[in-house]
Amino acid sequence: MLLLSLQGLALSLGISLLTGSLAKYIFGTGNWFYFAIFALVAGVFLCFHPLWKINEQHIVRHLDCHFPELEESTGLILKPQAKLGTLEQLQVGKIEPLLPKKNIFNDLNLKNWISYACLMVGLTTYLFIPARTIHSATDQEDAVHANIRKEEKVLPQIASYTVEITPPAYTGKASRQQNQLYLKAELDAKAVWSIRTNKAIRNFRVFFNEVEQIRLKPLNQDSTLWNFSRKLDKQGFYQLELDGKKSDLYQIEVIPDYPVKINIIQPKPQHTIDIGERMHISIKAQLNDDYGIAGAYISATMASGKGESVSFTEKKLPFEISFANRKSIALQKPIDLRSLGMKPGDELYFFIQAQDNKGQLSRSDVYMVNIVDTAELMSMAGMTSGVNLVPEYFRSQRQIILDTEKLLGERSSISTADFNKRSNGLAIDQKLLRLRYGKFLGEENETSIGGDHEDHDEHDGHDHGEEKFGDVQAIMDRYAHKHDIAEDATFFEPDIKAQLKAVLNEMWKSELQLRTYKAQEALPFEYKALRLLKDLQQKSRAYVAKTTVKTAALKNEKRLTGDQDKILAPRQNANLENKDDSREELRTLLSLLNLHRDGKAFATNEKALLQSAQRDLIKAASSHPESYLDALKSLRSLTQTKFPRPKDLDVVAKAIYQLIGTIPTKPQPQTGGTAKQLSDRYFNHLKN
Amino acid sequence: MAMEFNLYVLAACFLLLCLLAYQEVKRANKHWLIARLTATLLAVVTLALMAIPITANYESRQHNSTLILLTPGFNADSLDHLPQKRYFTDETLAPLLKGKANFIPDLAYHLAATPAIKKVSVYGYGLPDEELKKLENIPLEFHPAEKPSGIIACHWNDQLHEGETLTVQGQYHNSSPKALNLKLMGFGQTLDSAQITAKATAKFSLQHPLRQKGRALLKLVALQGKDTLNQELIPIQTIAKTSLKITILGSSPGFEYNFLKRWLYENRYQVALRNRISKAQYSIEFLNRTSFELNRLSTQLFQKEDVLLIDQQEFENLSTPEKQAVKQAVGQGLGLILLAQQPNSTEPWIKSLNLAAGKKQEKINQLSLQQTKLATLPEQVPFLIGNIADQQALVLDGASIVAVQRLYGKGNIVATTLPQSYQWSLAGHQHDYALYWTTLLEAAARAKNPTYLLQALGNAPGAGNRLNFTLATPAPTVPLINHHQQSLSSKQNMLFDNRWQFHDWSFQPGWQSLTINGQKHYFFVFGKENWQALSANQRLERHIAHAALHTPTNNSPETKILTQKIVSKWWFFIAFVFAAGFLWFENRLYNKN
Repeated sequence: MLLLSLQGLALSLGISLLTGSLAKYIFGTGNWFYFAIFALVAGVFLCFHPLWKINEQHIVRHLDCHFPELEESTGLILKPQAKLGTLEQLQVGKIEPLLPKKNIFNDLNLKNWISYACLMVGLTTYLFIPARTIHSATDQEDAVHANIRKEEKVLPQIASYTVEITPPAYTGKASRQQNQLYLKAELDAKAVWSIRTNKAIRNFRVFFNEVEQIRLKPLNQDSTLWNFSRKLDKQGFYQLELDGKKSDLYQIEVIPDYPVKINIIQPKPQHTIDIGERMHISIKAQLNDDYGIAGAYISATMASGKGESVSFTEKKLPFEISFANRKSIALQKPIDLRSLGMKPGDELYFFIQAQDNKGQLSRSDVYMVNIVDTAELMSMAGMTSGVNLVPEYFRSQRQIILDTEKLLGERSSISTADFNKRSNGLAIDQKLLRLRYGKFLGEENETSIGGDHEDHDEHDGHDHGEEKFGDVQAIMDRYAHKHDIAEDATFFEPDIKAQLKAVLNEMWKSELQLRTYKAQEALPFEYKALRLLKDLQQKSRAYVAKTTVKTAALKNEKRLTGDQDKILAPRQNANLENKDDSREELRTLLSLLNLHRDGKAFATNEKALLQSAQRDLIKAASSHPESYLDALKSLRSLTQTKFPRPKDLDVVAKAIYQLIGTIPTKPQPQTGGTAKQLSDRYFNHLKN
Repeated sequence: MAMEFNLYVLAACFLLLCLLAYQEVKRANKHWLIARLTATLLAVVTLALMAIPITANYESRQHNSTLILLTPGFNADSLDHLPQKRYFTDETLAPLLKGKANFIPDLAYHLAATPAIKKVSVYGYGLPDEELKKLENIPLEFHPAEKPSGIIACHWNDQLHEGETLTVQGQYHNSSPKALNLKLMGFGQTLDSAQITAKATAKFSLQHPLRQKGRALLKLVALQGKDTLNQELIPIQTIAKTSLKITILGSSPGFEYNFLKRWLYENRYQVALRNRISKAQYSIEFLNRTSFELNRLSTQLFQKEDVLLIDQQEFENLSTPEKQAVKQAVGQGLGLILLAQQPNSTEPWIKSLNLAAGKKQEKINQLSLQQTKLATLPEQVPFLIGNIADQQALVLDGASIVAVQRLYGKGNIVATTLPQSYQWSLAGHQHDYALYWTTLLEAAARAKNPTYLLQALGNAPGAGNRLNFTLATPAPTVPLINHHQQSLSSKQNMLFDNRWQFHDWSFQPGWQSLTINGQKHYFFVFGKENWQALSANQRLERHIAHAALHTPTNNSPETKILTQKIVSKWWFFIAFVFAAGFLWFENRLYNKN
């Protein structure tokens, strides 16, 4: 019994696995199919072998049938000893030693082996087949030449056909063959069609994009072997015509080769190297291409100098790496700006230029690195320009900075008391300077803390060497007391004054830090004050407006009084000639397509509209076959079949809807009420 | 009459009785005299009663009963506790209610036949309108079903100009616990969509700028994931394009006129442009039309024009008779677009605009037309239009008015202060430029006399229902309307002599056509399966309103009924036969003489 059920189980499992896997492979059915088949087979098995019905009677009958030596008496063994007659007891005694111990179910052995074999076959298919389907599925995604365009309609005259596509060299791909007329190939690939017809064809033509046609010559005597080739350089579609019989439209899809994609990860588009930073940058970039990168380099341009004397030097910096037509590559290059000959104040512009193996060049955006120039801040270039009125004060601020820096440098070698004293001295200098600038804003220096005289002396001590640098005005100032001149207050533009105030503010802060012996903290304020002063210097440039042209005054009373009798008024007439009405026709057709969804046949004049729409669709399909070719096919089937299919109508309507595009707004009059008196009366009362 | 007849009968019977009684008394055979006299009296009385109808009043006490009507959408569980018998009138419910409720083929008849019904209880969405009318005299108790899930209100304009935007607005009641998408579909694609949140009644507004020319059937589909819950049809048709005749009078040539001229010319409008170039010198252009005299303006000239566009300076330059001609023409329907140039003017039309200087700003970037926002213009509006009651703002700059529309007689006056709209065109905002001028021109343009305008009344005319139409015709002559070779008669509107009303029946859903004065006009008839939720919702609302007006009075469950009944004449006849028979029989048996 156990044997029998095992046999059944193995048989049904084997069959279900086998058929299930095959069905999954062929029809793509799900896992439920295994269970369904298993249940079905097990059911059938149990029908033929009702396991639950097996009892002792069955065994007895089985033994009686298969072992003649038992003399049809096995049943007696089952009877209780007491109930047996003498003869029966004798018979039992006779057959009992003869009872077979082994191979009772000899005949079942073969069946067992069959079912186990079935199970094995089932298992192997189950393990083998799914692996294959998964494999092919991934292939489809990978392969550019996806061979899974289903349901291609081929003319019955064509017995067999192959298309050999030879991708261009840059792709590095081997040529491939396909049994499919839909082509998806790399740009500039060469396609060779070999077609064998099942009967002689006299006239074989190929149409590309409906406009270009090629007449073919047969390769053999019977005119059954044909061959043609073409370089696939643009999208479109083609059609075969055999003895006037036109085939379906087949799409040509071209996979373009994109130039190398360059992604600069480091540095930022605008990078500034501040004072004290290392003059060194590291360029990191990621390059990607669809077939392979042939090479890349950094094109760097250095700009140095100022104003009109800017000079540019260009340099190509190669990456020390072998590209070897890799599809993706991470590049890294450290650049020492000093070794490029760059100085503070210079700027570096660079971009990465890359070339793919097709020869297409691409370049990244231009990135900029500039080195901040400290010397510029400290330079005296602006002071010698002459137009400015306050040269000596700039020097003083500069002097304060220099002195502060000197003090900081000597800090370790001098005593704290000495440091504090010198810091305080600098603060007094700073105050003095502030008061001097305050004069330009109309501030009175006498009322300020500390008094003028003492401060002046201090300052003199510092700036003694510069005294003769002052112009005549400065010398005159000594003798003239002119801080009350009203002009001083209004000497500058308001925004210059605002900036001056900002300068004073910075000076205040710097003085505060110096007075509290924090020379280090005072430095930023000093620098800022100096920078603001430099800006001021630039602003104080003069602007002279142009003088106007003077014309004679108009005499108003004489205007428009001239005699114009002989002057002819210009007159123009223009009529817009009829533009092509294809848009209008398309719009009418769009409505027609919608109305024929109920399956009505197209009338003759409506078919004419379909024909004219076909022209527009062909034009669209040759440039965008992927979006319009299906519509073109559907349109063909609409013109050929009597009763339109809703699917075709939808596809064509969608394409035509796209072709029409948005309609610009145009004014339209409203439809009003009646033209009769009643409403006229009403409206006349609306006048105010 | 009846009384007199009764009197005669009574008198005749009395005489007869006297005669017969006398005969009886005089008779020789006195056998059973009293009985015979009684029989005679009875015979005569019954004879009289056979001639005179006799009525009997009797009072009955009746149990008030409620008629329970089930309509689609009723909740079966809520009916379990009701002991009464249930009825239904909708045949479509028959398979559902077989054996559970009785079918009433005619509700009015049923109500008349069973006067005991004092109240009607309606369960579900309610009865159709014509059935509800039959319940006018009886209190109604309405047990509304749950609000139907689906589109419960929807409206759109089914006749649009070419290129106009179709707006489908309505309400969707979503009773499911999941959100769904409402899509306007057509031409093989989705044109617009909206999302309806779960368990909510949401308003939706879907828009689609028309691209087709002619009729089209769009679909409004409610989708939940990939399941289609609802699908309704949106039929639309376009009205043929009409051109406009536009006259432009400028005080000097300028870019504004040049750009406008070119735009109108390219869109095939008929334009006459006159620009003043010197004292009495004009540069005149006629685009897409034949030339005519434009040096002198007159009412005749304006009669055929739809729009007159004039700038303020040129308007002030016009001579008095010319101004008068313009005013008269505007009063008769000409559209006038005024380009206002300065606030100080003695011209009453410009004065009434209440122009005021606008605040200084670099750009105008808040221009908007009704709801649409326009692109930024680099120039600023020099002044703004004051807010006056009788004018309608067309273009706004933030909250201040840039262009207005007002009525003058039959015509419209549109005024704008935007001096350089061509900047849009220059900046590549062609769409905004077109939108701006379309708005102004449409607001001003002379209303076209209606060509035939056919409108089906009611929300969704359905197959098998009466379809009511209104028709506007260009002239007040009786239109010849044909449907399936059968002519239909129409009723003229009392106030508007070019409006007609007629009705028709249609049993086929889909596009149907009518021939009106030889021209074919289309209308759409919906099938029974369309707009079910909408009509159910309408029935619900109507029943709730009806039930509010016909509330059942809550008095005693019994009523006394006084019934007057005519006693059947057969009773008197039988009595008469017995009485006469007795007399005859007695005579035969005991006739001794």
